[in-house]
Formats: sequence, structure tokens, C-alpha cells
Amino acid sequence: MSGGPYNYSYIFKYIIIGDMGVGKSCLLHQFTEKKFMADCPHTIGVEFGTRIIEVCGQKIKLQIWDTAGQERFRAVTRSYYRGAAGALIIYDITRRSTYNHLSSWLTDARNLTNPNTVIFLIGNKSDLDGQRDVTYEEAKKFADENGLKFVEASAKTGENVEEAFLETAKKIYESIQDGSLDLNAAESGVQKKPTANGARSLSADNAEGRNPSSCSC
Amino acid sequence: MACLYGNSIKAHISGLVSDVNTKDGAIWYKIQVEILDVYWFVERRYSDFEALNKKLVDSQGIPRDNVVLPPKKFIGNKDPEFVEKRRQQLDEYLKNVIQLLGQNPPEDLAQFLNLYDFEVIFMLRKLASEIFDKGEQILADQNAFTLSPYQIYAINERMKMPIPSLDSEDKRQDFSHIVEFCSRLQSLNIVGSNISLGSSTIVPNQYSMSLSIFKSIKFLSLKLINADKIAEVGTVRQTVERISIHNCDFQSMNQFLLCDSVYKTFAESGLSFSWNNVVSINCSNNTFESVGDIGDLVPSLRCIELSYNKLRNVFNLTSLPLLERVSYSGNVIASPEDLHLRFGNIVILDMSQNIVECLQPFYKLYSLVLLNLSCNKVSAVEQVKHVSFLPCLESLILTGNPVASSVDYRVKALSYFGNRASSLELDNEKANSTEMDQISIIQAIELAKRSTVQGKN
Ligand SMILES: Nc1nc2c(ncn2[C@@H]2O[C@H](COP(=O)(O)OP(=O)(O)O)[C@@H](O)[C@H]2O)c(=O)[nH]1
Ligand SMILES: [Mg+2]
Repeated sequence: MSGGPYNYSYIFKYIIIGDMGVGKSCLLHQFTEKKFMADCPHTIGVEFGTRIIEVCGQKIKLQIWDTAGQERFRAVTRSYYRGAAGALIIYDITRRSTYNHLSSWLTDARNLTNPNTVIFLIGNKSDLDGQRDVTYEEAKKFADENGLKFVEASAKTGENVEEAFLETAKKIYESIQDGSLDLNAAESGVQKKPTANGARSLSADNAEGRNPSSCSC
Repeated sequence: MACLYGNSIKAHISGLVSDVNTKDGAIWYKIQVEILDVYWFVERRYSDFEALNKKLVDSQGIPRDNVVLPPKKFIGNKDPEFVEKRRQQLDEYLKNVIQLLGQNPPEDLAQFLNLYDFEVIFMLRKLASEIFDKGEQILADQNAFTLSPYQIYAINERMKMPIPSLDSEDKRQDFSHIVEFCSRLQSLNIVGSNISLGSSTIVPNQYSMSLSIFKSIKFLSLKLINADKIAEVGTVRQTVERISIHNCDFQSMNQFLLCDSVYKTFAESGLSFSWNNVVSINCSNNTFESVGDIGDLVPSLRCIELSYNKLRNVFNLTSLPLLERVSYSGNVIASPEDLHLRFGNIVILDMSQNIVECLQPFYKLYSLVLLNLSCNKVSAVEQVKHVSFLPCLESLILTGNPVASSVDYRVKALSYFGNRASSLELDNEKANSTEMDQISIIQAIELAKRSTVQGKN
């Protein structure tokens, strides 16, 4: 299992949340396919995307769960918070209501994810600057107050999309390196890749987990 | 569907396994496990109960007062009265264990009850860890992966359940691995069955499938699938390039191509249900009675295999501009209509094992290079004349027809091809020099005859 595009060291699980119509599915699609999908079908329950990225010289497979924003799918959505290493909370910069709901999404995320989950706030549709309803400064302040990473991005142009997903992965990787994230915890949302013989070897995991080589980026 | 989410397990020992011989004389208890509308049987002996109990004592801290395994007995343990009493005690024990742990069964109990084979959540945990171990290799090698309709149904249902994707301690069992694998898989075999799964009442073909979790399928193979059980094709319709359908109960190609649509024909459905990238469809061994109005549903199709169906006619495939290979082998076609009105520029036509007598309908298939008519009912060698003017024809196969055993068949047949007689392969063989000599003679006589006739005029 060496070589090939899908040779990776870790799996990180992400969840994307936020009101309906803010562009969650489009952001995921832009990230995995590098394309804008203008006529994206409504997400029913959960959707999924995957991509291998490289962070600090490590190949990482992202497994990304895209959720439906509607209330009637909340139960399904909520169940996917657990075991997420990264949570991307999205609002739409042209619709204030989606920004106003952030605190409720954040409460959910804080309550349902583990303390190490990296939460990243994205103000989507930055290409529609003319229709802006939420200023960058205001959102930035909200993010800082709540200890969140923040960018404005556009699923349409691709601006900052890559950055948001990669930045999240980098933070997760850092917490693995500094030992604050326990790989073996069931809900860490991080997993080592399968060993060659397919057997589970926790001892090998531990040995590598203790590897002192720190992130050099 | 057997699913623990929102449902509970029931289990009771319904009796003893009667076929003692195959079970080395030990007493085996037959346990009926039931979830919702489905049940199955497991066969366990006292020592299995004992082993389970030991594990549960270690991992779950039983026995509590009411969950006690009946004690071991060494002598007289096959006495019918004792066996019946023990059956009741074990039944009681099992009920208590399930009452205590049945909501969220630990691995040992799940294994004891065979949940990993039948119950959705456990079945998918097992599948997830298999995929976690082998999935990358399968994808890297572009190997096919086989799933049953029940598994696909289970995956779809699992997506809708408000349960975390990882609901066990073992991260290999994370449901995300399945969904990821399905989204990247290129070659999928779906194998159905009308027979129930193992000892259960689960009949895979009763479950309807959505293929929308598959995002990268290029090769789709369906075997023994019920036509009405594909509820949604999803992105497969855009990604798939080759399709094979065998032993399914579709009655026409249309029924498959529009399986998830309310429409029955291309005329009704229009382009929105097109399979734009499909280049080859193999539907041999089905019960097709027609192809149906496929219009532009498969605009890129190059190769179609319709062998071993129940087709009586050659259907109009002129709407397929790129079609070049067609097989109708093993059907019941007797006298097709003029075939150049049925296909565009096809290159290879296999009509072997039908009941064709006359070659007249083939006379204008000008692009044809290979015509296979083996095992039909062609009896008159003069029939060959009809295809002798096809300018591209390089190979004609008539083996297994009555004509092939008639006197001087090869030389007579080849002589119709004029100066191409030496280059044409008849029944996979070109004429040898003896045959060529005879052909020249026949052709010379023909020529002489014709000029005499002309001379007389
Ligand atoms: N202009 C613009 N439109 C976007 C962008 N992202 C999404 N949209 C549109 O917003 C709508 C909702 O997107 P979708 O991804 O389905 O939202 P979701 O409900 O959060 O998954 C769609 O009509 C998209 O075309 C963006 O970055 N810019
Ligand atoms: Mg969506």
C-alpha cells in the first residue's frame, strides 16, 4: 500500500454546518472537485466528500460530512458532530439571518464535539460583495471573541476555500503533534491509516504518536 | 430490515437442532433472533453460552442477580428431561441478557446472535472494517467490489439515522469508511438474490436501492436484480461507461435505462435521463422481449450485447450514431426486416444461434466487416449472394447451418465474392489453393454462362 495518490498517514473527519442555503454543499464540492456547482441539489440528511491533502509534509485524507441545514434533519446532523476533528461553520455574508444563527450553531458544536475539535468560521459568497449584509470586521470580532479561526470565502470563485480546509487540518495536525489530541480516543475524529497487514496495532500507533518531530510549517 | 435503531431484539430458544449427526452428537440449541419484521436462527451449544457468559462477566460486569447461567452438568446431560429443563433455563438466561444489554449489544453478544450478518448497524460495522483494511488497495487496482441490494439499502438507511458515523470503540468500524469508499469506487457489482440470506428471512431482492452514494462508477454490473428495485440511479447515470446486466428481470433496455423514472420511453422522458458516457452495454442472459424506445438515452453507445434473451426481432437502433458492434446471438429471430433500416454503420454483427433462413435483409449493411450467422437455419448456398456485395465484409461465419454441410459449400459460397474470394474469411478460414482453383473454375463457368446468355440476346 505504498505509492499512489491515496497513500496517506491520517484520516481527519470534518463536519460542515450552518443554515440552509449558505453554500455548504458548494464549498465541499469546490474543495473536492475544484468546481462550482451552481445547481446543487438540496442536501437530504447528510452528504459526503473526500480528498487527500498534504499538511506539513504529511498526506492526510479528509472525510467530510456535509449536513442539511433544515431543522427536520437536526437529529441526523447532530449525531455527526461527535467524532469530528474539524467543524466548519458557514454563514452567508449576504444574508444577515444566517449570521445571527451562528451562536446556535456554535453552541451545538461546542456541546456535541470534543474539546479538541477545531472550529472554523467561514463567511461564504464573498464574490457577492455588493450584496453584503455582514461586514468582515463584525464577523472577525465574533470569531475572535469565541476563539474561532475565520475567513471569508467563495464557493463560486474558490477564494479561500482551500485555505479554510487546509488551515483546519493544520491546526488538527498541530494538536496531534503537541499531544493535546489523543489519537486513540474514540471521538478524536482522527485515525491512522490501515497498517500493511490490515491488523490493528495500537502499539505502533502509540510509538508514532510519540514521535517528537514537530510540525515545521 | 433488521435494524437495532429504534427497534429491539427478541430472542428465544425455539428448540434443539434435530440433525444430531452433523453436530458430533452434542446438544445444540436453536435460537430464533428477531428484530422488527425479520428473524434468523443461530445454533449454539451449552459451551457457547458458557463462553459468552464469561466474556460478558469480564466486559459487562454481569452476572447481576437475575442473569445467571445454569450450572454445568457432566453426567446425564443428554437425558431429555434434563435437556428440556436446561433449554428453559438458557432461554431465561438469554432473555435476561438481552433485556440488560440488547439496546446496545456489546461485540460478544452481537457475535453470539449473528448480528454482524444480518443487523444493519453491525453488518455495516463489519463492512466498514473490511473496507478500511482492503479498500485502498481495491481502489488503487481498480478492482470491482460486490454489494447486495440489502447492503446498499442498509447503507442508505444508515445515512438517515441519527447515529454518529462511529458508534463503536473500533475506528475501523466507522461508517465514514463505507461512504468514502462508495463515493470513490469505480467498478461496482450488485448481486441480488431471491433466496433468503443464510438462516434469515431477509430476501435481498426485496430491498430497493438508491445508487446515489456512488459518485465515481465507471463500470456497473447487475446480476439477479429485480427491475423495480432501483429507486434512484443518481450520479451513476453521468459517470458510468460500461454496463452489464445479467439474469435480471428487465423486459426491455428501456426499463433499465429509465428504472428510476416515471417515464417508460425516451419520447416521454427526454434528455434528462440520458446516460451520456455509456459506450458499452452487455445485457446477455436476461428476459428482454424488446429493446424499447431508447432514443438518445445512450448517445455514446458503441457496443451492445443482447445475446441470450427472448428477442424475436431486431430493434431499431438507428438513434445510436456511434454504434459499431451488435450481438443478437442466442435469440429467436427468424426473418428480420431490412437491417440497414435498423442500424447505422455497424462493423460487427453477431446473429449466431437464431433461426434465420434468408440473408436478404443483410444486403445493405455496407459498413459490415464481420457477420456471424453460425447456427442458424440457412440452407441454400444461393443466400450467400445477398451479402456478397457488402464492400467491407472480411469475415462471414455460417458454421452450424444446414448449408455448411452441403456439397461444395465453401467453394460455391466463396465464388459469389468475385475477385474478393481469396481475401474473404469463410468460417474463420480463407480459401486454400485447391479451393481457389475450384472457385476459379466455377467463376469461369458462371462468366461463360452469362456471356452466352448475353450473346443470345
Ligand atoms: N454567488 C455565490 N453563490 C453561492 C456560493 N456558494 C453557494 N452559492 C449558491 O447558494 C445556493 C445554496 O448553496 P448550497 O451549497 O446548496 O447551500 P447549502 O444548503 O448550505 O448546502 C446555491 O444556489 C448556490 O449556487 C458562492 O460562493 N457564491
Ligand atoms: Mg447542502
